Amino acid sequence: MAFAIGLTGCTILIFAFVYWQTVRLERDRIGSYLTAEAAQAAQEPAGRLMAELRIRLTSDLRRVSYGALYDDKGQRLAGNVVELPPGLLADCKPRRLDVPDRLLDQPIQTGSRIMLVACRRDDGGVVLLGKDLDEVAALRAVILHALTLGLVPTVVLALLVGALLSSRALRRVRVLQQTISRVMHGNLHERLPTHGRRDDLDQLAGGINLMLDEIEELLAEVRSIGDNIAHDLRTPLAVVRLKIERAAAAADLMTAEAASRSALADLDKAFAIITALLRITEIENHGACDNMSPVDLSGLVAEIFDLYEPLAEAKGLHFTASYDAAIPVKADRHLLLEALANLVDNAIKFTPPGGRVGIAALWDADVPVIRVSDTGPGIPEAEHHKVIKRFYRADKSRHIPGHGLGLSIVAAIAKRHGFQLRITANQPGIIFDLICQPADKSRQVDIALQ
Amino acid sequence: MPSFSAAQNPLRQQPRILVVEDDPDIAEGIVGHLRSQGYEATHATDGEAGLMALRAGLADLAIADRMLPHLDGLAMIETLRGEGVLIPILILSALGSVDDRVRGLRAGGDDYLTKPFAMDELMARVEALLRRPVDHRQTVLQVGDLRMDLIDRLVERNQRQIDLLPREFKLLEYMMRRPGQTITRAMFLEDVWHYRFTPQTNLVDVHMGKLRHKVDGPNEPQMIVGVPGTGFMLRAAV
Repeated sequence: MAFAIGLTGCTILIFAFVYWQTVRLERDRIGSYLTAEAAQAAQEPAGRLMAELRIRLTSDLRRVSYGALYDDKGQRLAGNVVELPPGLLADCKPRRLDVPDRLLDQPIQTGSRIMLVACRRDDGGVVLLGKDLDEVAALRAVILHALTLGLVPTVVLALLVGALLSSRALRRVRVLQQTISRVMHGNLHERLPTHGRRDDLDQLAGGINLMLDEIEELLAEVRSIGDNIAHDLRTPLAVVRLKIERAAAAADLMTAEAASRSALADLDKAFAIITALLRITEIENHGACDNMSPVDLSGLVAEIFDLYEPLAEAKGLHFTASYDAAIPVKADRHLLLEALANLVDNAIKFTPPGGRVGIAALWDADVPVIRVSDTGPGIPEAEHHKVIKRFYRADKSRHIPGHGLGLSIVAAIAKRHGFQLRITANQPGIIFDLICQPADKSRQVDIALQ
Repeated sequence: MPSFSAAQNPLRQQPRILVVEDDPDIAEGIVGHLRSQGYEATHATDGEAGLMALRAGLADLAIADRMLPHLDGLAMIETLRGEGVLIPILILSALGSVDDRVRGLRAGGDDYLTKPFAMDELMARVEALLRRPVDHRQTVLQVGDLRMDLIDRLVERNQRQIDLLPREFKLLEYMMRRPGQTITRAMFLEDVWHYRFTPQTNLVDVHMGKLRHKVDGPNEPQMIVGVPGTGFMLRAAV
């Protein structure tokens, strides 16, 4: 609607401009003609001028309708204008005037204004030439008529089209609003309709749908965390309670002490879960990448190998590290160490004695990768994407102690850097690749909103 | 496991420790335990009181919570440092993120412990702060018949040369600078390896096991002992 009004306004302005310029052009033309003639007449000898005036005023009325010659006292010597109109200066400049009360000897019938030029002569007299502007008035009328005829349909058309387009858009917006309102009232499964056109509304709806997908997923995760916390924290705490009860009822000090110590260990386990959960939240929510500096992946692998080698040896595992020249990557060194340590920690924990664990820093098709592999029980293909969710434990490994949050921490660290975590089967065992190159984040949303 | 004994303590009198904590249960627990370990312990319930007491030099070490009434713990520490008060301060807080720890140390704290904490962990760190490590300019460390040459990177016990990997050398050096002190697993991870995370497995124990194996020969009295539930200690054989 606003657009239609704007369009109308612009059209009117254009027409007005055309009108104004056309009329002015015509007036100027007349004015300069009169001025040139008057200036020339001012130089002519009086006798010849008077004769010319007589001729012109009778035969050349098309270009000059008024003319006169006055002496230095203002008395008319020749011509049809009775006297110099009051207020008209003899400065040889064209002036537009309303018709004075007494212009000619006889009253004149002209509705329009007149243009007059008066020039002073050397002998003190004044020559006057003029024309009425009824031609210009006619031109004005014609143009106005044409413009009006053109303007009305333009305005009507603009308003119609505007109304049509805006009603279509409004309808789509209203549908979107209604869908959003339903979503807000709890129906998180609904998605906004899109029509396959790649126009702005469709792209917006597509973007919002992706947001809703993410929100639904996060809510599901939060719900599952709630369930898992209930299970994973309540269970050790329930055991703690039991043991303290036993300690309180113990007949001798030794039993009481043993039960208390055992309860303490369980409490520490519960605290470790809380710490790990908070750590994941801290990593995820820390915001953009501060603390990023060049990190040598090979150096990192060497350090972690050094740290975990005794542990692997103690467990009877074959532990190897492989890296060549430095592989620089822009990252937070402490976080990468933590991620790598978590992966190796897991590998050593889950691989039975006699197995192999390997860490490597390598280039995979020009992309820097940290790889941790083991020959443990592995993870079923179908569960690869689930494994990084909090508290996930593959059935085969439920008996192994730990809080099941290590991989969630690794995933959070990867996400914080914009890196990817790739999981592939090792036959037997599992391979974790931390691909240390920021991919295009949120590919879909970006494309949709371009 | 009292780790403080008057015979080993270079200080003439019992160290005075001020606990600045507004939670009465925790304060009572800490003050009680400190006293049972032979320290002189006092208690302030807010930042202002703590500031005044520490300004007046009424303690050799402070254990301070962060969330305090009247004057926040970190603000108290910053003010003290600004005034040139250098007494060691251990920060105790439920705020346990890496950021929080960094903030605490930057404000002027000397160590940072998260709640909940094991009392032994607290004691080990208090002791570590009270007994600052041996002068760094020394080129030779000696504990009992164990000798470490920091220039040549050689370690020997009773003329028996001990071959150490670089990581084992770092570990032993750390312990030799703190003879007779209990060092917790967390302290090892933070100070020797500078890790901010806690591995799930018994990493430190395994490393310590290998070191012990090298340092304590088959017929030699044990110098590296485990402190049950807390950590490890290096001490001259008794």
